[in-house]
Amino acid sequence: MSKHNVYVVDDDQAVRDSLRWLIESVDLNVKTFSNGQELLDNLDGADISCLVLDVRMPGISGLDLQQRLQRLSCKAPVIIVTGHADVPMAIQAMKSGAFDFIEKPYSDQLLLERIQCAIEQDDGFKRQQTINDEINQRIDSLTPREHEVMGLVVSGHSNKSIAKELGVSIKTVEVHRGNLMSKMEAKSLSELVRLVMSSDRISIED
Amino acid sequence: MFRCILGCLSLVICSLALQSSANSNNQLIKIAVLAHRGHDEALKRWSLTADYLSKSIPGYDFIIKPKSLSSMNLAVKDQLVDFILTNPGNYVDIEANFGATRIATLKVKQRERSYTSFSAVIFTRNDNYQLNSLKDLRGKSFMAVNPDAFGGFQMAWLELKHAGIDPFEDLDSLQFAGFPQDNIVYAVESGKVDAGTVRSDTLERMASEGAITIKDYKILNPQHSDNFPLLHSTRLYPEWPFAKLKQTDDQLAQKIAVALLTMPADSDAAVVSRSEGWTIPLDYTPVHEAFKQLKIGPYEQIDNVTFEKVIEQYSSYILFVLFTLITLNLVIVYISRTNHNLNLTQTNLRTEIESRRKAQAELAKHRDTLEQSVIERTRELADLNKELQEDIFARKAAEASLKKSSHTLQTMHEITSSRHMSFEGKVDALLRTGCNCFGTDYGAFIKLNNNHAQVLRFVGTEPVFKRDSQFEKNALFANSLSVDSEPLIIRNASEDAFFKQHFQYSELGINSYVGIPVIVSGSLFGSLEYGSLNTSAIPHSLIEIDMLQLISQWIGGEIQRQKAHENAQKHQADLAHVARLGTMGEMASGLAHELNQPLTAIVNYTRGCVRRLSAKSVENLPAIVEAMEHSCSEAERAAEIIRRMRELVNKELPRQESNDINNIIEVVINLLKPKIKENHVAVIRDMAKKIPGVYVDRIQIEQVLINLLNNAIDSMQSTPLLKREIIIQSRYDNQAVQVKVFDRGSGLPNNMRSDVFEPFFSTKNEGMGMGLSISRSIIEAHKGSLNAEQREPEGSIFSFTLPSKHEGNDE
Repeated sequence: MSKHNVYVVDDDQAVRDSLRWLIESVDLNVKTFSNGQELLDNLDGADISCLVLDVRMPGISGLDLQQRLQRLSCKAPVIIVTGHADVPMAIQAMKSGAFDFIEKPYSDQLLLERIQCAIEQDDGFKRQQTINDEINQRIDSLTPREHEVMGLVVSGHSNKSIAKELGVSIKTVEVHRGNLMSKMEAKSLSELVRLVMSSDRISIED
Repeated sequence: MFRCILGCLSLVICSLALQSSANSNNQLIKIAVLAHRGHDEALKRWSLTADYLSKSIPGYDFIIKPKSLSSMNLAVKDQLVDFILTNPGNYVDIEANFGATRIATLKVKQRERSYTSFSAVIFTRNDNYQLNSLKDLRGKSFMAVNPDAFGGFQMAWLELKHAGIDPFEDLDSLQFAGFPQDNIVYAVESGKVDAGTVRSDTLERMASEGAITIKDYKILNPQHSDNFPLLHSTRLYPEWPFAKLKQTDDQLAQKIAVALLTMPADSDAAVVSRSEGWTIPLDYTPVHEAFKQLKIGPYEQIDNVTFEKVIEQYSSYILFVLFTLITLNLVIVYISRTNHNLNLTQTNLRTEIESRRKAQAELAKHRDTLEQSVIERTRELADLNKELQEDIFARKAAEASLKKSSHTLQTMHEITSSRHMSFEGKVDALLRTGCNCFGTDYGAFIKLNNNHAQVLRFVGTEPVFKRDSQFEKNALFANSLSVDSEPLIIRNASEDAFFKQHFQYSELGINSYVGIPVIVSGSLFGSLEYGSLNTSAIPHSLIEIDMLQLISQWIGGEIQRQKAHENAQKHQADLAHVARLGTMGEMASGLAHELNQPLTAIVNYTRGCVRRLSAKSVENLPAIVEAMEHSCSEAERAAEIIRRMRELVNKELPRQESNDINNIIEVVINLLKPKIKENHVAVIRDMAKKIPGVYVDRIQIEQVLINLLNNAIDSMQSTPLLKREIIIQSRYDNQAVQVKVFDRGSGLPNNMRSDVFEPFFSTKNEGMGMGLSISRSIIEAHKGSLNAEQREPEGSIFSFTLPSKHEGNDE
């Protein structure tokens, strides 16, 4: 697996360069930007594992930038760094979904630890995303009728009641059920239910 | 019988023949007859009368023209007829309007009796006990033939009028039934109306015919006249007249009159016309009288027209008379007025003449007095003239001395007010002026301490003192001067015992001397003295002494001012320091951040190095060295920040030296970087490239700039982020260096522009209000000026000037 990318935004060149120096020491990839706009301009196709933002910057402030990134559905965890021990600002950052909030001057240990945690969380998200994508792909391969039958199956209906509901023979229901089980790569009903529940496509009726 | 028929036939034939011949030869005479009962009835009644006349008067054919009342008058007016036969009322009307003359009056036959006059009867039912006289008719209903009928209404009208009743106003109703009159009788009998009037004989005729019974009726206002036995209620009036018109031939009229008068009572014509022929024309005055009283017929408008007609007719005469009267009146008024005025003028003139006479007498008296006065005055003037001439001589002498003094004063003024001379230069020049003016050989400004005297300035031809030389105090005359002593004047040293005690002067051979105390802040500072080798070559007039005192006062005042200025500068420096401490406090958090940056970087670099080095697999040593280099320079950066801060907090005496203003601006922008960044303010530098140095205390000017930039940033708190911008401009224009700070903040309202420099004035919540006040005092202490103005469209401009290095210190 390739190195994780940590994006750093700070207007002070010395701080920026020294952060790169520090973070690279734990075998991570670092990309630095002197302001928020520069980061936004280079966001396309970027694989970001963690963002370290300075709160006080000319142009777009760290908090603003965090909110803009959320609006662009950039889900990478954000660590806000500030020279001010400013409680309201910290609360606001955490409320807006920041991963963490670190006060300057910080211990290198703490910073690197938080970055590591952020990366792990991001990895987890990304894994889940891959699984979801896979399940969604399987769901997409179902015919409309199979889709319908699956909905009724996971809601706990028997083949008989499904046949009655859809106005077809039990035999036909059994055929649909067999096909959809193989398309969904589910070995049992419980596995099918788990797959459907982890997907955000289908809601299970009572 | 046969003869009779034959006679009749022959008569008819004869008459036809006559008629045809008459048609061809005879003159046609038209007789207009009032047809009050219709056209045919009239023809039937009167045709035979016309035939009778045609027969009686040869050469004429008479025909009957039946006319109504209105057409009768028209026919007469247009002269379409020659004779008229009408009722008395109509006749009277025509007689008055067109000049008709009656020639016969009809003798009416009524039941075997003939009447030449007739009347009207007013009656009611006999059983109507409410109606007993004409007066009782008020408010009752009444019936007559028609309004124009003479016997059928107008006769009764006159009687009613005499009884005080206007039939058109006072009756309940007035109805006109027309002919035959019998209807009126029936209406009364049936109770349809209360009363009625008809021509006399109507009731009798109807009774004889058996239609009514006379006793059933009550006659109102019954009259009894001789030869008139019929029932009647009114006076009697003549019967119908036969009348000729104005244009009708009189002879023909005579012939007709004769023919009518001789008409037999039993002739056909008489019988058919219900008469017994004609009689001589009667008097129609009663009819006239009745009409006059009723104001009808020819008398209809007699009342209404009189006055207007007169006016109309005689208007020109009246106008003329009026005009004459008015003119006469005016003339009289004018004459009486003139007369009155003349009288008044005469009185005035008389008074005037009297007063003139009095004035003349008075004038003569005054003339005599005046002559006497002139003689006296001339004598006085001659005396005065003599005195004046003496005065002029004295004045001229004074003027000469004044001129000299004035010149000296002018020189002194020029010296003291010069901008180019230093204080010492001015003192020298003043000493020199004194020497020139009074002709002394030297002048000196000496400072007196406790025991010593020091010559501060000296000018003179003889080297009496050296500048800065020191003496024992008591070696000098000045030793005897005190704060309130008069100028010390010695005119001849050899004769002065006091003088001889002071060897300094005697050794140098100084023979005359004047010394004046110089007072500073109420105590003796030193002396101003002049001396000469000659005796008496010293100021002698009071003015000259005064001038010397003036010089000494000016010097004293100037020294006092300089001391005050020095004090003020020190005070101002203290104040500036206090303010700086305040500013530093405000800047502390920003500076902490500023310091945090390099510290963070240092930690990052060194920790990065430690991690790499402790990994024991050092791959890239040069990179580690580079990181350590960076770490070092960051440490230096932190040190620089701390140094600058300490500089600002340091309390040092103002130290003026040449500085580059652009450099000062740069340092200040760096100091304020944290605040600038935090507030997202863009700072634009607009610096003049070639700019001379300024001779200033660097720290204080930095302080002013920090203050201005702080204010600029604070003023933009409510300005949108993208618009927050400060422009710092430096300029040089031959005399001074100028720095301007532009912001886009809330600006300066007009009424606040002068207030902002006042101490304790602040628009900020936490401001002390001292910043601008101290800034101004700093700039003014540097001989510059600090100004504020509104920036269009928004924001404010603060600017200060500082004299450039070349000018600020021409020592």
